[in-house]
Amino acid sequence: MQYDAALRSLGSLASQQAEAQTEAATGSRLTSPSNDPIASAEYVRLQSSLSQANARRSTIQTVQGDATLAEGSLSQGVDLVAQAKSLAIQGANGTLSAADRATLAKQVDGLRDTMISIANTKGASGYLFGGSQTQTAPFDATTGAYSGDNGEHVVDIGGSTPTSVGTSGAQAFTTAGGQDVFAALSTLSDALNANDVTAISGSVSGLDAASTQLVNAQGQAGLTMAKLTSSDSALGLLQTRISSQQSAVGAADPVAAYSSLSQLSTSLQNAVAVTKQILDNSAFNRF
Amino acid sequence: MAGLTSLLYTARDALTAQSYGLDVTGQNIANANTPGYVRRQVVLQTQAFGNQTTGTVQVGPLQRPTDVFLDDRRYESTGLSSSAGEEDNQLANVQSLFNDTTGGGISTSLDALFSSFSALSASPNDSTTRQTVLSNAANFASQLNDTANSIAQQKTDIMTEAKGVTVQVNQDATDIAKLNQQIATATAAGQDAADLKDQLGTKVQDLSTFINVHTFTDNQGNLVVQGGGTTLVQGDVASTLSVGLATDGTMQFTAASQGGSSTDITAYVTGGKLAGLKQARDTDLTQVGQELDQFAYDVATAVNTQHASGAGLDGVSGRNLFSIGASATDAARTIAVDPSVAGQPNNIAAASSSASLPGGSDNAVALAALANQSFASGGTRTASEAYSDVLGDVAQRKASSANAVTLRGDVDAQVKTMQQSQSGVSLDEEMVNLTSYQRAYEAATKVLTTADTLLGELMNSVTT
Repeated sequence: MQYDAALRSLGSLASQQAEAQTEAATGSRLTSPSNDPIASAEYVRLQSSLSQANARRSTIQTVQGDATLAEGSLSQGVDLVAQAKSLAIQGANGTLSAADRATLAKQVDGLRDTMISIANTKGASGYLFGGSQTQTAPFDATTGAYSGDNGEHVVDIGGSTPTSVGTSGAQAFTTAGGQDVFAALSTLSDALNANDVTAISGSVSGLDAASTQLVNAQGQAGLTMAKLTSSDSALGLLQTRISSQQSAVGAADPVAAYSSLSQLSTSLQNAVAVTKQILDNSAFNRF
Repeated sequence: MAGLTSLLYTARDALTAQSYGLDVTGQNIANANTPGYVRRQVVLQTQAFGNQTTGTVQVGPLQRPTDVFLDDRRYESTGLSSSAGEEDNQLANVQSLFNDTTGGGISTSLDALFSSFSALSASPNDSTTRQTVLSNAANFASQLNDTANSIAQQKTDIMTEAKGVTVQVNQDATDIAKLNQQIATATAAGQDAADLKDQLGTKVQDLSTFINVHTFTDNQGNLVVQGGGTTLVQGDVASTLSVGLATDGTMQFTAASQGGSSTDITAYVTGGKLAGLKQARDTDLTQVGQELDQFAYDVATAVNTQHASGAGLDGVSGRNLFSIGASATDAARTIAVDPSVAGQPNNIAAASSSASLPGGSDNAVALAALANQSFASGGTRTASEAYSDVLGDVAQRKASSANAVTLRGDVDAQVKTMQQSQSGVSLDEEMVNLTSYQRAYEAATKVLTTADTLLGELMNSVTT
């Protein structure tokens, strides 16, 4: 009967030791949820929060490329308008011949074509300035007529309201923003072709308005990028916080794990020694 | 008159008695590890010569020290311990299905589903992203299916196991009835039937691991064995236990007496493997299954409502992402990707209306936002929280059953120790007995020698 008790305590110690070994080896004290039901449930909830933060960061990465592209395209547009303006000033010079102005007009036409292709820039998620019409070129290649809409590209990156990351093509390039950028360029080109100095000078105000409009749009795109970057770093901090909380909930304290392991090993050795003593104690061995 | 001759007889009786003591001690030592063996006690009595005060020794009937109350307590503690052990085994199986803390499980696929909604909001028109949403939805559904199917399969397995256990119960009951009969016959023939009683004790102890057992002796001196509150064996008559399903799908135990009347004893089966199996199947597995169904139903319904409000790339609204029944019943086992979107990533509704196609992403944002909305468990928990509740419940059940195993195991071991100290063989004690009988035998030999020497001297003096 003493043997039963000895066997039982040996068995219990051995299984405790096996558990401590797993804990020390895996670094997790939740290898079985039943080790700590409450911590396990919390661990799973934290895991979800972590996964959501991961997903949002990867969403940010996806849209960041397009936002950068939009910002760059608009800045390029601003440059083009500036070039057109210098051509206008050049064309307004009284010494130029009609042929010279016709040449300038061709250059302006070239700038307009480039401007249209900029407005039709395609990013990872389709045309950047078409609103929700991401699959069709929003600006007509010859007329510059807008076929996009005002649909916003909203993404899930946290915050109480959905974040819009797109740049409105209508606001940047069409009369919806106050000045049709392509029309301003056409007006200049027409005036140059017509060899009409007054009209050439008059077109400059339109170009100025176009420039302001594009700069504003560029500023919007820049804001979006700043918002994405700050959200990204906030999510990065959140990830770190959740991870550390998760390890506080689920990770085995290495010091505690190893000391309990060695403590159990000692207990087991002691128990074996005691059992041996009990067995040796039998009256048979005394005679 | 006591004389030298009677001293010889006394020595003879002493030798017989002490060697009998040695025999019994030997038998006890030989059976020290025999399960169910109850140690035999030698009873020696004085035997007077006629009506004189001197006398010799004689061997009385063997004693078999048992305590029916202690035995009964042991049956009870064994039943409870075995019931807890069985429940714990079954729960260990269930728990292995919820391996979320080691990086698997349903929570991972739930998180992946919501993550893919977030990715969809970034690239609403990207076919790969749409495909990812579909495959994550399918993965989530199939994980739920697998888990629910495993639980259902385990319930079936438990029924099979319970049937196997009732076969063993019936076998034990039949054996006990036979032993009762044999003991009655042997006792009537004047034998002590100790071996048969040992066997009977072993059988009842075995029976107590399957079902809660209570024993008593009736007026005719027959051992009555009650299992699950009903008489399983009375004398040489055994009842038959069977297990089936009640109308509500729970396990039902029925005892049929030999006369043919059947009794539903389900409510009284409180110990042994059968009770553990019933507890695991009809309480633990059933409740965990229902919680999982409710979780699946809540998530699918919330996702469906949001998804149906948006439009696929083809401009069509009103499609569900998951196909699910009208109620939570069996939801986890039947949830699947809805046929209207299965295999057709373009039908996933990322935009809130056909007007904002193809770049509209507001419905994808709304779907991703569901991750933080408390729509589950009656509008109090988010999806992840609801799942963590299920997991926590499984873990809690397993932890409690593991505690019960330790606690009831300890009680059983304690009762066993008490029983053993009463009825078991103590080698120390037998060692002392062995020595004492040995010395007494030697002394008896000395008595014989002395008597012989004296008689010899007497003879010699007479002849000279």
